Amino acid sequence: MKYVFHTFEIVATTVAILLLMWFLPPLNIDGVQLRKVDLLSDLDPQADSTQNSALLPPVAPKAPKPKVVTKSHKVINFKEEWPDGVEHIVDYGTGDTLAMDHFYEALAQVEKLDRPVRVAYFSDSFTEGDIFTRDLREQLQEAWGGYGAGWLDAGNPINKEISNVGVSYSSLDEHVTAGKMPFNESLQGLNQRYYTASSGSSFTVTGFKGDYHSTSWTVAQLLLRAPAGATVTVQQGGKSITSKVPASHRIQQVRLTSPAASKATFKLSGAGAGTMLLGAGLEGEHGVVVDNYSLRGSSGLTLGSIDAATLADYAKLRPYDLIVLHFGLNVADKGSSTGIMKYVLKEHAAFIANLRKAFPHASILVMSVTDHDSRSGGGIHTIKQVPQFVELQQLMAADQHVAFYNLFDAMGGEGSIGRLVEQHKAAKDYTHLSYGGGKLLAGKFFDSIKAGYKNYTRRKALEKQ
Amino acid sequence: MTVILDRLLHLLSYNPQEPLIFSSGFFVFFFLIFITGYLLLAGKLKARLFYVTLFSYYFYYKTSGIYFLLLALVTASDYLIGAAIARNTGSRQCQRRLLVLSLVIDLGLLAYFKYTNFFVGMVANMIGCNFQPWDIFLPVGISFFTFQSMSYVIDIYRGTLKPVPSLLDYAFYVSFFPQLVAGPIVRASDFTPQIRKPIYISREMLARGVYFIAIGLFKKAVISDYISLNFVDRVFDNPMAYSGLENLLGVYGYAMQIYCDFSGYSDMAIGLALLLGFHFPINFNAPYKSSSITDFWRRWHISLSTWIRDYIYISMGGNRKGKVRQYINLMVTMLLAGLWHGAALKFVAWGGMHGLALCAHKFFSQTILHRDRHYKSHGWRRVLAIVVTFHFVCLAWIFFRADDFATAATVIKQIFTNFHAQLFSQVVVGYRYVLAIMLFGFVTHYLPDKWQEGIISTLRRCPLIVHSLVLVAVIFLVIQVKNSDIQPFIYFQF
Repeated sequence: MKYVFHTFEIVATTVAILLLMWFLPPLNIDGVQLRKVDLLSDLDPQADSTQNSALLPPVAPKAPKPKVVTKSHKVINFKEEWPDGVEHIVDYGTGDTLAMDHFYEALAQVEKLDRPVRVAYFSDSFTEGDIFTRDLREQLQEAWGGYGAGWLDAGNPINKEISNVGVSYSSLDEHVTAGKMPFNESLQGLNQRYYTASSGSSFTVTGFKGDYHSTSWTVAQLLLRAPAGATVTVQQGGKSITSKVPASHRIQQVRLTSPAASKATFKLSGAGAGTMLLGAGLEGEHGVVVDNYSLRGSSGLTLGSIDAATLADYAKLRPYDLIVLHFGLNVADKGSSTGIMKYVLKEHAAFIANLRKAFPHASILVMSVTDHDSRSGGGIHTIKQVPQFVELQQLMAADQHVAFYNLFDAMGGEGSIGRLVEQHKAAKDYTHLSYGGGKLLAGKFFDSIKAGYKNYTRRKALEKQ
Repeated sequence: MTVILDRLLHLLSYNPQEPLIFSSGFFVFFFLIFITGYLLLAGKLKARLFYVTLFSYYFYYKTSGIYFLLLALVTASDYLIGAAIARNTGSRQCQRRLLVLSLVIDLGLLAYFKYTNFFVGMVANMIGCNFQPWDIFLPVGISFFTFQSMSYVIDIYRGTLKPVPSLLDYAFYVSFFPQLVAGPIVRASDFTPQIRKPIYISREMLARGVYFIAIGLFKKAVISDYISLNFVDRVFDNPMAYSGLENLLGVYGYAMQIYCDFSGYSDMAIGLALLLGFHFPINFNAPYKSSSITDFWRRWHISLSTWIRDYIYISMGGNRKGKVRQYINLMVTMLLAGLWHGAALKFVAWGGMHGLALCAHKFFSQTILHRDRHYKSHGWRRVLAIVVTFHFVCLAWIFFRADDFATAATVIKQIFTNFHAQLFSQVVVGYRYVLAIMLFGFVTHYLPDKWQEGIISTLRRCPLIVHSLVLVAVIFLVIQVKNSDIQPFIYFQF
């Protein structure tokens, strides 16, 4: 018995010391607060609850109810219909035309347009690797037609193999904002990158096998800067075009339309000094295409450095019908003050103003940050800054009279990324989605677009009465 | 108060989301309550055996619910069959039939619960049917306790073991909670002679037990959980999102994670058993110090590798039927060992890679170079051999860890075609804590064994309060880094 008593003594003393450690004051080492020793936390029902409601900013205003003026000058209060479980797209547009109307109208006219309906999706690492945007594009193309993966950077190593298309390249040097290579802001494209090139530089986009509409296309559009002129050859679908690009500091295009192709090659056979490629858009002649402009680590602040001339060039060469701003993972983080979050959103608002000048008719939508969790004593919980930032984003959208989509709510609110991790639909950094999670959330956003589009067509039908 | 009682009842009931594992806070109380009863019954053999067995069954119920009946079924059938084999010493044929019956029961249960979906899915795939996996619960640790129980019957059949005197003894052996759900696979010949001996726990056993619990807890809950959650899982979830350098570090990280996860659990099991007066054989012996793949399997999961050697490889003829047959036996054994780890082709491929490497090493070492099977290289050759062996093991781990072959191929492709060495400083800064913990794991792995013995020896000379303080210090550290949703052990489902 005495031998077992030694074991008992060790175990009992250990438990007693651990229980007593609960009474220790909070300990800090080098500014990091150590967790409290609470062996009884499993029994404490309060331990799992989070207190994220504190310090929430003022609640954003409700969207104004659209009014319909019929042909007979009757004014009708239009009631939007959103199916159960479908997150509303909150439209803060003013006047007769709501913020999303241009996009919905483009969708309605999709077959009559002489170009595809284009969506520009600005984001951070959330959409890196085409996660989320791949499936959003696919669902839009399935519903309204269209082909191609949209925008692909010329020499971005991340795009070497992004699920259903891949980009291989040679003799291209990447210059990206906040990167190691020297970066001249005035030269960047909407992708916030450019690729210095020389004679012989090339890149090839290949669509892989699969059921996605994005793996084949008919139109290839290369965007480049050639201050001293350049000669470019584009090949796809058995067709080839060699174009002498005149010297200009503005962004220019080389465009080739062919029968359906799943491989396009862009080659510089002659490049004057300072030639740089931006990338290419692969799309159909009609339908919908989504351009994914993701930048790892971005808070969206650097978007303001894209100069007005560049925005104007894109508006001319690659006009957009819907522009989505989706940031926050690098802003709504532990330790971020409300002041920092407000400052970032002020810059987003400034970028929206720039966009308005360049794309005066395009619909603009602010997409909320998604759930983003961290570990605390009681388990995995939503970082308290996340719901704060969502509120602030909605306030900013209301101020700017653009549309707002609460993806945080759509995915299930607090703790939802943790639930997605359990279903293997998100990574264990409790921040990023897997392709499965991207498909799930893209489906939710798509359902909202569909419901919003239905509301739009109903409203337009009423106007004709 | 009612809420707390409800919570307590919830904690005490079966919950698949909250298995009772050694690194959970609840287990600390659980073990204190257990040890109090163990102390009171220390001098009463039958009552103590019954108490520990009952407690072990509750431990299993907490992890697998009603499937504790399966444990009881395996226990009862093998106890009765073992006794029948021992009674029928005059008839080898009868003994063989009884052995086959035992194997059919044990392997039948294992096959049904673990491999049905795998094999039916494969057949459906071959004939082009759309197969939705059936909803078959996989009882935790079934691979461990069936193998353990099989060894008992086979040893009796071989005449190397006498049956235990009572069903209670056998139930105690099969269900003994420290090793029940994740090993080590303790042979009956090692364990059953200890059951009826009076409890004796020397200062050496206490020190060694506390050391193994502390080191096991640190390996499992600090090193393994931290690097898996914060780095390794992310890389393997989406290798394309990471450079080749990060993928390579992810592979090294996984090598450390799986070692710390499983050996950590084994260490805790060994330590807990020592504190209760029982000796388990060592299960891991610094496997990444191996200078050949043969050496690796002498150091990695020793209780499994010796089990498959004694009961599969030798049963198939081992090296007694010529060279070619020996290589075939080796390959088949390793393919089955791979399948033991999980019902998926990737595990079979992992076993196959190790089988091929074992054959290749045996061929070159013994047939070409005519070296003794216990040959050990020295100096730079040994260092080179350790580096090469480690990297081969890592290569095989990629297939073991990746969700499918395509993901494994992507990891390898990223490492060889998209390395980005220039990211090194950024990666080191970005993942400094993860890499520091990995580095700590590898450095301590390569320390000489005598350091460990030195620590145990020092602990042995210290008063018991120091033992408690060591455990408190490690638990405090675990609390600081723990993920409250404690991940299941990697080998749990094996």
